[in-house]
Amino acid sequence: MSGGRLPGRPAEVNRLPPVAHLSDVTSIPALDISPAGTRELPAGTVERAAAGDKVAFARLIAAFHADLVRVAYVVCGDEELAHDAAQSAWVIAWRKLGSVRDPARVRPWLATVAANEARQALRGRRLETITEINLDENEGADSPAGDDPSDEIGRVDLANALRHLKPEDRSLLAMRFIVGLGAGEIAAARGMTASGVRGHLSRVIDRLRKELEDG
Amino acid sequence: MAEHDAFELRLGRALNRYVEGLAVVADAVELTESIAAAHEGRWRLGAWRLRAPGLPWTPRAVQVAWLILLAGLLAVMAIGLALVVGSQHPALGFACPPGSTPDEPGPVDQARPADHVSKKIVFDRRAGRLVAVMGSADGTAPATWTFDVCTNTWTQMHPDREPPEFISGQLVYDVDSDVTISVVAGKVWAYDLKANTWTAKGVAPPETLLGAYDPVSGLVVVASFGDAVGPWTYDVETDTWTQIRQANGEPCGYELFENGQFGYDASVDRMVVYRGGGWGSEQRMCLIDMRRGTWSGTPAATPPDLNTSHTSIAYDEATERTVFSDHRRLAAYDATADRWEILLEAGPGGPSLYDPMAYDPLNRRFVGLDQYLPGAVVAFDLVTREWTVLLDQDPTVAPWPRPTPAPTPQPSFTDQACRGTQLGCLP
Repeated sequence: MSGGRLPGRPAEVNRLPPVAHLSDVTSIPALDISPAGTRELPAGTVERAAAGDKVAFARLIAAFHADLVRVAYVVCGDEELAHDAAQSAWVIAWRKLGSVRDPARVRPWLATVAANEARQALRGRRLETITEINLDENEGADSPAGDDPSDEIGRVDLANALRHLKPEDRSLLAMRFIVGLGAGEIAAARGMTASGVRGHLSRVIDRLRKELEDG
Repeated sequence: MAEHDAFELRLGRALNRYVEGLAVVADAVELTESIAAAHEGRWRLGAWRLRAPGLPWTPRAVQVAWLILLAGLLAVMAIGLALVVGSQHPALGFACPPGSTPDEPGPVDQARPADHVSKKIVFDRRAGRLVAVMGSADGTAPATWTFDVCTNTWTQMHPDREPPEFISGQLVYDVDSDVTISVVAGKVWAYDLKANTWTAKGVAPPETLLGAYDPVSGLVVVASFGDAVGPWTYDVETDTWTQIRQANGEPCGYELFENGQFGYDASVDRMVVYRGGGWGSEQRMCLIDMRRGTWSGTPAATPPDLNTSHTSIAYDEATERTVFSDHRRLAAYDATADRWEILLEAGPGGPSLYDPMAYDPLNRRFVGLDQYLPGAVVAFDLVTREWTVLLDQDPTVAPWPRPTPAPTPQPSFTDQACRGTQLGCLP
């Protein structure tokens, strides 16, 4: 069936959106993803998930799993480890979600758990630094339109710079730039002060700046 | 951290490109089931790799001792978890207040819905009450009632506005949006119990009669057997429809919806579609994976013959089975094992929980209007197989005549273990 006028249907019906493929409903369409990248979960989802509601928990996974994998990957630099870390984070979440007092803080909390799991996974492999770099064949081809590609930080350079950081530093970067958390959110999730997070992050960025711009 | 210098912006872009190519899609339902099963002591990991940390190298005897110790600890944890989980009510925004007597019949002299040609009930999970809409064939406006399952009392809601008719309407409770949705005469109506208001929405696909709520997507799934035959999802917040097209071919097709009933089965995260027999075709079941668009048949068992004109479907969260009822029998379908069980055949005497029917997650049992005792409300617990009268019949109205007993089930419906019992197991 096409998205055109349906035979015998009133004109009003034809204002419905075109018939979509199933992929449209495979991505939990009820979730509202705002321009800022935050996901608006239905009210009570976190509480229900914490109480053992599988549906609510699945909704959390659908909303945040991608974040967890990405955070874990920045920390450990290994895709397989990152997936394992994200899954381990969900296992922990199943048991300890009730400890999240403010449902609005579930995203920073999950990201912190995933980062910690990635660090644990690195220790398990006795890899404290990133040793494998996946080179992208289209290196540099994905620079934002209008920007000077030569001005962008290359993937290899970034990976090399990241491997010189501590896992703790990489997890801070991931939470700030991948998940988009503010200093207050990171601080609350990690048991630090906001000013402490700002100072730590500033030092990490300065180090990267020196390595990527001066190096 | 509100201000970013140029380097920070470049760093942010570079980090996001760094993680861009990762496969980050997870089957949320599968992963949840795996984790939940692992914590219930039922390891059902499937494709998921939930790795336990490796044991340090030790002589074999010590390893065995470690394993025995670990097994003992796990058993204790599983028992503790089962006790904790078992003592909890299903996650709801409502619980019966202390002192409630949900098993005691409500006052017999209370006002209650009169008999109507068309009546449907659905459970509002946030309010902890059943919503009932009673329609009539004479064109008079339907009536909206609620039934409190904690006190077993009816309340007529008298909203300012109600759908103009309810002859063949369906009710679906949308948990996300906290409204009860009905498709009446081609239009969608939404009832907000808290505000006690009906709101008219847009036009539904033609000849849409069936409906179920998909808790994973948070959308209502309806089935149309008109020009745009097949399942659709409906988002009440935006009043938009999306047709779900079949991604595979056989064994099931769109003809299912021409004489079918539709429900959501959480045990397999599938829409279950029951198609009644007739016109030279046998009744059959199909499962629809809403996430992938694949439809699958259920070859192991021939479904019982149900009257699809008067069938209610509800999912039993306690036993994780989909239960069907019509005027003649109550049947349960276990989608994980592709197995049917006849729970009750119509006969003289006894309660008759048929149509309409809804699952009450608060008390973990089905609640329905007795088909032959006017005004009576009964409950059936699939775990204990016990009936509870929640409201005795209206003493001012004579009981309706019961039908003749259902014909003997076909041989394929019974196996030796269940033959001769009232509850006939199906292979």
